[in-house]
Amino acid sequence: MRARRDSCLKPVRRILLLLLAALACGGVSSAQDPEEPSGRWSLEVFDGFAGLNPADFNLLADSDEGLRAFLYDDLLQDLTARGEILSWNSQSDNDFPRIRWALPFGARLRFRVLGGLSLSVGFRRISLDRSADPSFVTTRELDTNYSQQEAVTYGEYTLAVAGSIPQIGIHLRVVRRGDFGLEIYTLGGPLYADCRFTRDRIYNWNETRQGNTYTVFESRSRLDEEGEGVGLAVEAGLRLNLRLYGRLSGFFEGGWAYQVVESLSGPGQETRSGETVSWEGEWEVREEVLQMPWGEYRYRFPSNLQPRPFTTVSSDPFSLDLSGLQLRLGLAFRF
Amino acid sequence: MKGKNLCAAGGVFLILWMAAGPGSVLANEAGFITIEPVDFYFQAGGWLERLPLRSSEARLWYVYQAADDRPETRPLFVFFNGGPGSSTSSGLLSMYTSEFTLDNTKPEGGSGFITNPFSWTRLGNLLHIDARQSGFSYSLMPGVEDMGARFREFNAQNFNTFFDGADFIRLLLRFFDGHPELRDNPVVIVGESYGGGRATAMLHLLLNYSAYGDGREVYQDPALSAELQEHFERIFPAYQGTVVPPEVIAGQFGHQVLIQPTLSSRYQSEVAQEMFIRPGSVIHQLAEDAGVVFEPGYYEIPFTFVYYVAGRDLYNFSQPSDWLFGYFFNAAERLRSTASLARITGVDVTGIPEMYAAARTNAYRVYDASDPDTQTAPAVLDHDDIQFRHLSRMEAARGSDGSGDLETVFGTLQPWDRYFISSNSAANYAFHYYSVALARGYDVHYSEPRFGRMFLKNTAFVDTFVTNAAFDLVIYSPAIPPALARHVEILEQVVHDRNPRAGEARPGLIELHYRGDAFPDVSAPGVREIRFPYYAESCHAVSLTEPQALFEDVSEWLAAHGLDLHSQGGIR
Repeated sequence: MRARRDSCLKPVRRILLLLLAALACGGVSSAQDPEEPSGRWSLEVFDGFAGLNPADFNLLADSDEGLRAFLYDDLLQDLTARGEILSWNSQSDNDFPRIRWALPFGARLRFRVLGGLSLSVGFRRISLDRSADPSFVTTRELDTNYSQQEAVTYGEYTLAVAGSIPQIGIHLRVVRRGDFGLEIYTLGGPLYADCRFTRDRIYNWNETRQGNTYTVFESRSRLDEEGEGVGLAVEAGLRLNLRLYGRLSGFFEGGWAYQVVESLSGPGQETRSGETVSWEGEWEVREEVLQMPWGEYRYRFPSNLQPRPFTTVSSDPFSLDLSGLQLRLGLAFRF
Repeated sequence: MKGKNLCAAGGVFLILWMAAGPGSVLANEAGFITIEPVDFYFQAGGWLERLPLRSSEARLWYVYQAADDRPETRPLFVFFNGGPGSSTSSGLLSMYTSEFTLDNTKPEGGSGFITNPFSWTRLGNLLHIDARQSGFSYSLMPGVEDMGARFREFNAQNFNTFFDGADFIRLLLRFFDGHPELRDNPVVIVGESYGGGRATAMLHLLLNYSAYGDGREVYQDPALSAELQEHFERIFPAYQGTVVPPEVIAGQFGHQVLIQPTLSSRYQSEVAQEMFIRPGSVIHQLAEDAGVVFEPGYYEIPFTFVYYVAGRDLYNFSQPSDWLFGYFFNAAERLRSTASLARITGVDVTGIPEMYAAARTNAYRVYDASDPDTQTAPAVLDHDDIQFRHLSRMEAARGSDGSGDLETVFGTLQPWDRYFISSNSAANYAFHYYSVALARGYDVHYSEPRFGRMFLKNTAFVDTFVTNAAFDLVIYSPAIPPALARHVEILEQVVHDRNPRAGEARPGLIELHYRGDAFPDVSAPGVREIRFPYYAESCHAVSLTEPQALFEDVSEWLAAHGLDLHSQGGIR
């Protein structure tokens, strides 16, 4: 078992750097009235947390999880019910990863137009790679001296999303009390997003007969699919300002962002039995129906495989939805 | 010395091969056709979930015998036995289909091959093929000395009925490449026993070839699909760049002769079992003859009773146990003699380079070189124990699994290699038990109803002849029509018509009344007839017990179904 590998170290490093920069800037600045003309410009940097759930993209993990239950547990239950095996058990480690949050960061240049009204231009980046090592083993006992074990492990199972958002903003101060200020804001701009899925799957079938274990079959397949597209990002929220020291102030802002890309396309590649196939295609949410002797399993998953396989029974548009709660902590340096 | 022999033999073979080039007279030949490693996969409706497999290189043995008269105008009969894992060489090739045969008037067929008075070369060209790892056919692999690696070879990547059918099609296409005169001739598929399952897979692959490359079928073999497209475009030039429909393909692959076949095997077994345990059944009659009582509840399968208690041959219940095996073993012994092998093939077999030990250092036939019994699973034996494993065990016990003079002529093989295996139990068990495809739940065993549906779809396009042998319990002929009738999703009615018809010496017909919506991609087939003649003296191997009757019936049936082989003009 290995721990999940999230790309959370980079954001932590970013926050530390941000704090160091803040201390440095504060140290060289002098205390001034924030309303003075020389303070109409400010440069802001921020980092934070974004809650999100790209549901279409997460269908990849949902479908793999469902397939595991249908193809292994359901099969073994059926074999048991039909008396073809004596018993079975399964053991799984680690869940299939899903995208649930991200750590955005960015910067903006802000200009106070008049009074409490400011305009800004900025850039925000949101990204997350979620990798995990799900694995499971099933053992079926055919006879007291004869059992079969199937093991599925993943050399890599990664869901990754990223978005770059150049944006303009309108900020309106609504409350000012001493060193504190409260603002409402709205931000908007294009969303340049991309996603990536990698599944490196290793299948092993072993048999144990009269105490001897044989590897009967092993296979490995790797699937890589990528996509990118342009959508819209709009956000609205509240912001709390706190003057810290001299020209430096801190802020905490939180809101809800609509961040959706409706159309993505990109390359894909699949390697099975050493043979690699490549393609370029648009992402869709496709539906397939597995028909096995013990039942039928219907599942949906996103893919950009071209040409669309005959196994696809229906397809819907795919959207990469990075919308959700945004919480950010930042520093502003006025000049 | 061996090297010199090999070179000389290779030279002779090369000269013969060159002589047999385009425009040459078709002549008898025998040898191996190499099938390259093939990537294929199983899928059940999901691109995200597939079972990718890669086969090993194989050298498949074939014997070609040219038609007696104007072979280039005659159809090509493709013969194979069943098992799976059973040799065609010691089966149909040696049993009254080719130019020479065992003698059915003598115990176990006598001491040598005699001239066959009913040689099917009078009807057309004959191509007898040994399936992968059966008869003379062998496979190749790197690291062949590793027993574990050899064990892994006997699995679904080399042994499943779809791939088995694909093997035979590949061989056929390679054979056409070497014999362009025959490329567009009609092909008549002749399969015995499990050969019915193989024939079903072959014809379904041929008639629906595009679906086997584009994800619509459970078995996906894109390379074969592309190869067939190329072949059909040559044969049917009007279909350049488009999918050739099955009714057109049936113009070449439109006839099948099935001798005691598995068609919808599970239903056949279920119906037969029901028939066997009824009062007054054939099993009860055998018990009465033997002076014992058959208690169905005591025997899980009636075959155990028939074989061990009644002492009758399952394949010919008019004879004592293992009667038919005696013919197979005898044929195998004859085939292990270069003189007999040359006689039955009509070829100087010393000119076949791939026979020599030096050419097969990476070859294997078994995974455990020391004990043939360990080829099988100890825990899962049932009726196959009697039907198949017993065969190879008996062959070994009888000492007839040696190499004859083949080792003297062709050299000493590696311990895991054999010149000839009549019944390869390791291959057989790979079809039934050691199959990752079956373990993963794919319903690709030939006993599954899937194969019955495939057979019925084939029959909508392919004229079909099935034997009805009186003494066969393994493929119990009375069970065939009711077994097919269980496919209510395809058939409205099945009628077994036993009334004599004009021109038919042995009556018998199965009428298949198809449902209008039987197949979504095929317009209503209506009613199709399967010729189902009754062979009152026959066992499982009908060609052995009633060779003349079978020959005449097939000849007449083909004439009535578009292949008038008696006319001067041949087939063209």
